[in-house]
Amino acid sequence: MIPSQAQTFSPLTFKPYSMHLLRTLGICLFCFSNSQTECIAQAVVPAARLAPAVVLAPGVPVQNDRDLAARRWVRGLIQQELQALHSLCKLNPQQAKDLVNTIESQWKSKLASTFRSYTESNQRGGVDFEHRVENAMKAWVQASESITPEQKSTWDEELNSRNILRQKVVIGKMISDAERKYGLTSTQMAEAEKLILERWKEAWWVMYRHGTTPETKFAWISPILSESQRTAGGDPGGLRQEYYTSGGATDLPSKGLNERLEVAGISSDESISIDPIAPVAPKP
Amino acid sequence: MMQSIYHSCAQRLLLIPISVALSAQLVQAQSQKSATPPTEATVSNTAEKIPRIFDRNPPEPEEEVPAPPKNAMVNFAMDPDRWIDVIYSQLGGSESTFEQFQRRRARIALNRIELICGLDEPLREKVQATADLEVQRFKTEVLTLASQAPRNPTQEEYQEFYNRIHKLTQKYQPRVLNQSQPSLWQKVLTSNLQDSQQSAIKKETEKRAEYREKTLRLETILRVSRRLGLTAKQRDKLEAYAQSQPENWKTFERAWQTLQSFPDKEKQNILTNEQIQELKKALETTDDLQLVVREFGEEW
Repeated sequence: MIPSQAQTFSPLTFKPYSMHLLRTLGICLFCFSNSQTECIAQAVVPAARLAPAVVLAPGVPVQNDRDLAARRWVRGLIQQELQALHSLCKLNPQQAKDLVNTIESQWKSKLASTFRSYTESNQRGGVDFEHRVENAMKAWVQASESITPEQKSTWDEELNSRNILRQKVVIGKMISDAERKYGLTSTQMAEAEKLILERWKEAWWVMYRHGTTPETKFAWISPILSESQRTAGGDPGGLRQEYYTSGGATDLPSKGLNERLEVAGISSDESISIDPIAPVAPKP
Repeated sequence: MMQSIYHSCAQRLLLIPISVALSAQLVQAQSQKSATPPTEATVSNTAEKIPRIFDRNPPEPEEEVPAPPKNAMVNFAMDPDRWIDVIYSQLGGSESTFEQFQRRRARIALNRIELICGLDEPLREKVQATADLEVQRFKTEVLTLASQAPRNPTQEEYQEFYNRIHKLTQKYQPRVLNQSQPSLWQKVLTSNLQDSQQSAIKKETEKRAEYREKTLRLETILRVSRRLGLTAKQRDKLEAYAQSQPENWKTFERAWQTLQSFPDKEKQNILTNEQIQELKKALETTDDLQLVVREFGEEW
């Protein structure tokens, strides 16, 4: 009810008047926001469409020897991924050319954080080059318009098979740990494997690659333990040794910065610069 | 009336000297008592009650510490307690950690055996008691050795003593725990198990060892795969080779050498030409610290 002009302002009349105003204002705001949302929704472009248009920052020059080593390993891994892709998907010359040119022009920018992580990392742990290159390669293959969906799915299967192998390794290590810790029998080990597989996280692989075996929680495997095993609990120490060694053979392939990437006999285009920059002497 | 009053007064007057005499006797007795010399018990009680600031007893002469030899290690003087810590640190912790681990080890093994082939309660208790006894024996050996430790050793003495520590602790080191002679509790357990039970335990141990080895092998294959860029089919082929020669596939370096020494025909069967070329290269080394985790599964 709107009060008439003749009505004088009083605390008694103010309440219904203000309520009415607020309601009207709310309805207006609701309508306005709806129309705004529609406008924004119409203007939104899927991020995937934007991806090729994103301008990548130019690669940072080689900082020091560690940076150089990291770049060589990354190139080595990329080269092997290309060969594996070709042997599985049989790329035609056009597909090979497109892919190798894209990678040659983008690898420095796309994997810049990997070099930086390795250059700046402390000595414990390290950088998971393999995983980072694999993810970058997956993105390149998915973004490529010349590679067919069948080829992409074949490549996905290969990546999936690698993940299964990683799962087997990490879970195998976790079970070996639990075997010693809780005194599991071989039957219990097989059962525990299934239980841990249900809880699999990709982060476990990264953790393992950095030198830590993920812990098998007592609660996870408690259902398969006997009463006396449950009472005894876990043995935290025991027949397990952990130590760091300095140096050793690395399992990463290496490729020079002045060698062009190639796949199916096709090298990257000459127009793409690959000239390596001489390593800068460390600052005092 | 008057007579009765007179009698009561007379009685009272008679009582006064008697009471005086009695009180005088009592005082005399007390004074005699206090005059007697104090016994040892009273002295000690007093000494306990009154603390003394300065001990009047002369200090006991200290044992003469022999002068360190001329070629003794500089700034190296350890008492037996410190040596005990050193000995237990060789086993990865303190005395209590060691004790706890050994007891748990026996308990966990017994729990597992119970599941494999059954175990009656008296035998279980007997074995656990033997394990406890064994721990106590080792602790005594450690004490004895620590008491024999040189106080200011020369380099040679120090080396010799360390060798003795190593000899004592060797059988409890994780890497030789399964290879060394079985513990006393394990002997007791074996002697009380039937043949069928023992063979069941042996089979079970082999299965678990195979599981650990398989995991190790798969990890090596994964590393080789990363180095050469293998596909899933190639990894499967390689796994068959690795299974036939498990000893050569325990470490990445060894597997690389093994693969390099493969006949050309077999190489071509598994690898592509690019991979064969890659295989000819030596492995790169890195200065980064690498974590090594070694799992020693319990043989029991």
